[in-house]
Amino acid sequence: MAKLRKNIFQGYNYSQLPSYLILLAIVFVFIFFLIIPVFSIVSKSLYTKESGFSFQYMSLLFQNSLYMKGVRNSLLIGVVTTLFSLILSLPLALTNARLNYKGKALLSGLLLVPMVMPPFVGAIGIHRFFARFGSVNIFLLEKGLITTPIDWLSPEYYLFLVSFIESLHLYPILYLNLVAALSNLDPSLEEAAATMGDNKFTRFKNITWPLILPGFFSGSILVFIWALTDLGTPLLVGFHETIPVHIFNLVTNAGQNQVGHSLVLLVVCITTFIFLFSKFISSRINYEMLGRGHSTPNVSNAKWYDYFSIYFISLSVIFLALIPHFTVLVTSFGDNWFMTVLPEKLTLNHYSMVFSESLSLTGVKNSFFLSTMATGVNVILGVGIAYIVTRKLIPFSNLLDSLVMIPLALPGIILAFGYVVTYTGTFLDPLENPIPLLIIAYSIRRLPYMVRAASAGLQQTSASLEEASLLFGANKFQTILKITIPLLMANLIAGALMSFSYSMLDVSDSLILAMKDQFYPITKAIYVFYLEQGNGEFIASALGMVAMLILTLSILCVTRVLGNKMGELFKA
Amino acid sequence: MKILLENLTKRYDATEAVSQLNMTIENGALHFILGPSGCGKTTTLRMLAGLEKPTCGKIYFDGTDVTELSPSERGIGMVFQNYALWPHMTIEENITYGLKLKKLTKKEIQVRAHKYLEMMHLEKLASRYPSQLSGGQQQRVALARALAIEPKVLLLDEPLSNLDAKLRHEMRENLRTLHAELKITTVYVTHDQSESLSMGTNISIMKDGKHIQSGSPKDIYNHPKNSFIAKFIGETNLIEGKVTKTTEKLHFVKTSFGIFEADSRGESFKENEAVTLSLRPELFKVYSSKNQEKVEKETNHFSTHLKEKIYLGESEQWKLENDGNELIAKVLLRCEEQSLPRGSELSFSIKPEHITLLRT
Repeated sequence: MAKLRKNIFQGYNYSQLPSYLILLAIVFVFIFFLIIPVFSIVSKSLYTKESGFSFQYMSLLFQNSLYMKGVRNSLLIGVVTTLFSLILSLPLALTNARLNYKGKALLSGLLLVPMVMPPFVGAIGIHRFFARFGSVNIFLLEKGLITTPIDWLSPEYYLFLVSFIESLHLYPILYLNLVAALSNLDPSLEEAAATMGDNKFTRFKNITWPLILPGFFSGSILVFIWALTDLGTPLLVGFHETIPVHIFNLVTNAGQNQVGHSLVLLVVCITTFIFLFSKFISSRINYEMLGRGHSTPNVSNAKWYDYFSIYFISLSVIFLALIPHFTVLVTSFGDNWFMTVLPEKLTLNHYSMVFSESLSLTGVKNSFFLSTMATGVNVILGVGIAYIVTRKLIPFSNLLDSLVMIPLALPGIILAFGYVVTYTGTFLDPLENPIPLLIIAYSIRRLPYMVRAASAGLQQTSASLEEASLLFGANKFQTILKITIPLLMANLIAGALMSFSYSMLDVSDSLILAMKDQFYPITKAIYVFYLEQGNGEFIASALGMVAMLILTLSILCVTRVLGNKMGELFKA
Repeated sequence: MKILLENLTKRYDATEAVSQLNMTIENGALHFILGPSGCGKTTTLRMLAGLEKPTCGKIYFDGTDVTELSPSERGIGMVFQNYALWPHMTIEENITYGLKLKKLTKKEIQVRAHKYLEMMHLEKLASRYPSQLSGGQQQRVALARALAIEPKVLLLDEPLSNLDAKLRHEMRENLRTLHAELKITTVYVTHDQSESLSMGTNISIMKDGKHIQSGSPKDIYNHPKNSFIAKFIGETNLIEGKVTKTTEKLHFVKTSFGIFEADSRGESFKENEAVTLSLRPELFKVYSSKNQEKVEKETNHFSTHLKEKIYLGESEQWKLENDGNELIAKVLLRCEEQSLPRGSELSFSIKPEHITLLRT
């Protein structure tokens, strides 16, 4: 008995120290790599040696029509992308949350594939197909349907085009949130309405939609911020009057352009405000679900006529979402492709160049290394934080949870810009060696997903399983190793794969922080190839395909492991 | 409203949740559908509501076939087990939702809402949200919401199962008075036999998707059709036996305790037929050895010994043992035998009319 008590007591004692160490690590990382960089931007935009503290650059910013146009365009991209994503994801979510049908696992897995398809790579293919003398126009000219080429990619359509490509990439985030909200909904709430004499539409409007609104909010806020601050797509489409491209161009003279810094500060304010505002709204409308009743699943088997709409809707969305990537695929095999609908000859040359050129090889190697390192950091920190928060090991552990979610509101482009401003000329100077900053940037921005994945698993794992292990004489460390980790394995694998995939895809940090070719990650290599004359576009496409192949495989693994719980990861 | 269920069957893939169910629910009844979990009672209720489509069979409301009608066309009100109150609406909004859909005028809606809020003592809570209410209050809101649309049939799915014991007893009383006042045909699904005995005007018992017996609570308690019902409704002792002799009024059954004489109740058994005797624990009389003469005057009397006593508050549960055979008797605490210690020799008797013979 005495021994038993001692063991429990020891377990309790040991558990405090690592908690505080992890807390310390988090606070350290956040201070140096979140707060200070943002603070440097703020101070640079509001303070100068000559005039001290002033808002003059801020007011200059508001008079700068170029920047203001960028702000307006980017906000519009955010809104339009969110709308498009809703239109794409709501029907899919409704059918998949409510119906069982043959091939559901595969189809719902495929629906998530666009999430890891780098949209900026898609933009390369879009150019090939929709340019003035691209495949589509040539096809139409050859068939005599048009006499002069249509200007598909006219700057007037840029906003629409960027939003469209973004939403084809981001709709899965909203889809996952809506599916989670719908399957969380107590079916008897809708049944109660059905006994009252409404039709399906009024029921959806009055009961279902208001109740899944919090799910819509937490998904759409991610989509909005993501679209607002994504650098790759507008850059490759050529839509330069957007916030991210302006900031990207600022990096070359970082530290000198105060008005530019004010722009960055404005973006920080916008995203933070939107994030907090949505949190506030969600908390007000997030109704506590009362206990679920008789567990009648609200999932029914699809009738034969349902199959038509299910497959039609899903496959059209997948098809649409994959068009840009399909164009990249064709481009990557195209040989001697000029003024014809499809390449005259197919070739594997671009792929062999990918595997022989040092730029692409280093890119793949660098990305693998950086993503693996970042994922490793994330797994350790993520599990630690999730454990502290779900088991409430320290006072105010919920505060820690909110702290970890900050990177969701902080766009990569801002963070990268902040790093350049803060660490240029120090031992972390990205010009000298961006590896440490890249690893930190990659991991800090995906940390929320890892924490979510681990928390989701921990919440389903009763603490009494661990207590039982302690009672049988194991210490805390053995318990975590033998009981907790094995039970969490599925979630850890999913979180790690997510973190890895998104690091491989990272555009803003990679483009800004990696300044010398030996440090280029895969995304920057693609960008540099794309800018090259001659074969660059084709090699960029082939390299893009290689990246997509890696990522498709990993997302399919994640869906297999996590299933319907995927929604847990993408909440604001 | 008289409800008729005809050959009602519900199949989910391979399993048959309800099979060939025939049941009549009289107009104005407080009709219980009672059975262990998984017996198909909730599925039956959901088919009545129109939330579940029967695989085959028909449902008639006052002679009209409603099988194909949607829930809202049937004129039903339903209280769900978890109440299913819409968390994003206030109590008043919950209650008036159905009225608005029925396109009642503003004035009518107001009057109706007020009437049912008052009936359920919810006036002060009208502007609150469901999550701000206690379980008992939520239960009353669910009831008010179902009644406000003035349905012809009220369907209740285990409405008291989420309440604590004390509140449950209070609500039983309230529901019974409410039913007596409104006289609305009510179908009440539960697995709690004491709820159905104390409240119901009629009870139908289901098991494995099948309907086994219907009748008044008294009928079912005193004349269970088989040993499952005898055991499920109240407590009982089931003893295997063989009929040795039958007369017009009595059957003689040989058991391991000895021979019991049981009332025939108009049922005939063949000689040598295997039967099960159901003996309710509260119907035994016990005698200490001092009262030997008294016991010998009784028809069915047996000597035994007291193996165990369990104190229940108002009574004691005694385990009586005879050569390895055991019986449970319920002994009121005021009788003079109460003080008998464990291990005492004693006798017990039971009247022939208190014995139920069940075919095995």
